[in-house]
Amino acid sequence: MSETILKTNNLVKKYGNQLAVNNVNIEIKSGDIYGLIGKNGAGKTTLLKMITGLTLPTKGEIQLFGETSNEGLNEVRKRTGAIVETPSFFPYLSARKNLEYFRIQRGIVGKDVIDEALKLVGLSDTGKKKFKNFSMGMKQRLGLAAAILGSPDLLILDEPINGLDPTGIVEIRELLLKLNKEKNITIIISSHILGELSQIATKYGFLNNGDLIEQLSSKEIEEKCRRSLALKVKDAKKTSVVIEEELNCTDYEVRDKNEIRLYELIDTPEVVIKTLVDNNIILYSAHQVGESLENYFIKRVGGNGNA
Amino acid sequence: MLNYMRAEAYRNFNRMAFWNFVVITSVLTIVLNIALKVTPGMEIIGVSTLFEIGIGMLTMPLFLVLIFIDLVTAEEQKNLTLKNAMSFGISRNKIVISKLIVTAVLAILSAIIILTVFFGSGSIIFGIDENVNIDLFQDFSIRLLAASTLWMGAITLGTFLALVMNKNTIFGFLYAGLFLFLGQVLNLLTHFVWDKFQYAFDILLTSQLTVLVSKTLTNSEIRFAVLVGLSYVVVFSISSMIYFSKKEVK
Amino acid sequence: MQNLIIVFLIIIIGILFTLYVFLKKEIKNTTNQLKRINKIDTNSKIQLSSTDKILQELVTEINRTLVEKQEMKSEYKKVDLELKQAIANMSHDLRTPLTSIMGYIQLIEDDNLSDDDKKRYVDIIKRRAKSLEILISSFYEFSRLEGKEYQFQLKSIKLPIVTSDIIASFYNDFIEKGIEPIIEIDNNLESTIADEKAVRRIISNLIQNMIKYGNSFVKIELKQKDNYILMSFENDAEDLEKDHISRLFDRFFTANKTRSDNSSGLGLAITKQLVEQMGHSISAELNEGNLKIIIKWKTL
Repeated sequence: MSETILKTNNLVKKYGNQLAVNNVNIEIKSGDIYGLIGKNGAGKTTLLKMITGLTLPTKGEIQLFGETSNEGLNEVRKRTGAIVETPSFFPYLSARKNLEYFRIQRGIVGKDVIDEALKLVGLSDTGKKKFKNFSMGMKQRLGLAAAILGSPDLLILDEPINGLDPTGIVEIRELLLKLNKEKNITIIISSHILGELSQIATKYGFLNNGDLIEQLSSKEIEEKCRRSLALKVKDAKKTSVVIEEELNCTDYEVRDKNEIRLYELIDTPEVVIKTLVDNNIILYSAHQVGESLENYFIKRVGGNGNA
Repeated sequence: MLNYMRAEAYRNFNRMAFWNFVVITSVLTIVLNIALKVTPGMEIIGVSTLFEIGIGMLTMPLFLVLIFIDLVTAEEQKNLTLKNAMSFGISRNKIVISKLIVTAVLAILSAIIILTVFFGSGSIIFGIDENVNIDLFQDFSIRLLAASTLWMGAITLGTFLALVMNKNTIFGFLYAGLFLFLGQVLNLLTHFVWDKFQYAFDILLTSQLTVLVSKTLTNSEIRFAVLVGLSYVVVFSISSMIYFSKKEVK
Repeated sequence: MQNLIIVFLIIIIGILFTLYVFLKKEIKNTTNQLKRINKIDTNSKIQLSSTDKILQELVTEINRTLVEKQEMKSEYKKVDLELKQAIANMSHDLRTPLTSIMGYIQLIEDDNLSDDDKKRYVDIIKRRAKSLEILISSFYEFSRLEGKEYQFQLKSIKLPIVTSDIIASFYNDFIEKGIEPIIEIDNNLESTIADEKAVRRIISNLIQNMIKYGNSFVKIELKQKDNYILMSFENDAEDLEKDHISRLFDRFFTANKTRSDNSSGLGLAITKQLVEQMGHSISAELNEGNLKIIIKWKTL
């Protein structure tokens, strides 16, 4: 039984005449890693700001851990950890002191939480270095450390890999996966780089110009993108026998009476066609189906998937 | 809310700027005392005279609290660090109230330190003379306490401005300018436009402080000053909370 | 003077009273938080406003208990899922040969069948039944291994002899598949402590795997390295991906998802258990498209 952690009902944010977020309905269940994907300016940050309470919605409702009222939302926000836009900390304090500030602010007991958090994000050795001298990567890491300090159930991360080098990206990705699996932390990550998210997301929300174009699980999108040979035949039953006996294939799916998806021999359609024809199968068409995640996204959103 | 205040205290006590200010101002009071001692023609009998000087300086903190407001509120606007507390679910009202209280605490703490250094070094340099008695203390204390309500009023006013202005430099100039010039402006308006502007002039913090500094002081004047101070506190605290509750935080 | 003292005392009492009330409030607050946390599944820990050292210690310990509780829940969920998965896989593996047997039995019941055909089908049924038996034995053996019930008879073993012996027995299989294995065995090696049957099982398992999955390149190495004996089995495996390596020794893991052709996925899992329970270690590497399984045998 997966409980719904976050749900938005027709959430709208208008700035003057401009619709930044237009009737967005997202749903995130416990244990999900939700990838909010959209070009720059699609409304991702605005959406996250409403969820974290930094911006007040023009219309619509937010339901977080089952709460919808303002007081209720504030109460349950204590179960979240967030990085929204650039991680901002006190420039004149070191990493440790910055985290100590948050530890006191949130009533977290026990000073070793800070060391643990720093170790997890790889910032144990910054010593007395002041935050104003941090690189972008270090800032992101500190942001993540502050977010996990309070043992959250939900992490809200706005482009957390921005400014990280390739090793850093891998480290953060592994860390997020670990947190998700070991501590059952639900995560929502926004990004304009699909490739990074595709490695860890379990559910996707495609945002474009304030509209939520599509929301689907990673399984669903894999199915849609999965490469296969689509065969349109007259008799699917007969065809499936030939596929098993003559082609020795077991990895196929009968879609309906006339369509079969073959997941093997995709790159040798001529072999398949010839075998079917030789066995008196009436074949109307055979073509390769399937695309990369990026292409799927680009087609839906009609822009540069890697903005 | 207590936790938020403690955290704010932690952060500001770790701020060099705060201690620099307190130390430098304390040192300046010592320098002042030395200067007074050394300058010929100054009739200093003893520490008791310092009380008079002290009373004369009661207007200054109005500008000095600017630095506390900057440290506690204006800087957070600049560094965009407010969002961390808010995304954690600390209510906006609690944030505003906590900031007001912490600013006040910082101001009071500094005041205690600076006054102690001033009168302490004074006692050492000038010696305690027979004019020092209970009445002197009482008089000074009452004026000090009344003035502090006005300073609290300034803190709330300043915090309100700091919340409204996003750029803390503009805030600083606006705050200073307000206290420096509004008095004069209202004066001019009273004389040349409409004499009812006098009322507005009277309830200015600067005007009330001038009253408190004068040689003779009646109880009703004291009561009125305190009333003005507290009114400012109430009005601007509520305004700050209302304004902040709708504000879009970067 | 007296009045001053009285005022002073009142202030002190006032402060103490406030502290007392505050502490009580914090305790109540802690209790409420704990109540809430116990009702739901959450990572939340108890938050404190008070700086009282004793209360802080109490809350730290409570939080520690909460962490343990969450970890146990998480572990339980994982194990539960694994078990369900294991049962599903076992059913699938058993069903396939069984369905096949039933199919052929149906065919035999047809009176119009020739004696020759009947005999052929009976043979097929026998073979399928036999492989079913082997499969069930593997499951049984594996569960015994996991439950640490396997009795090892440990003695001093000379690995080169045993290894060469088993390689020779697979000679025909290599020829049939058309692979010429590269064999590098150092005959002057120290002995190691192991159960001979288990060692034979391990080496056979790994060679069988290599024959099944390798196509062109097979290499078996046995040599001394530092303070242990290194035994490695390497074959080409172009379908294998990097993240499969860590799961290679998991029970029921097969690299191609369809679970066809009778591979139960238990072979490597059994091998790993045998190696490790005798006190040695096993690992896998992927080097330029070749899978290398390495066993480190401890020397005397």
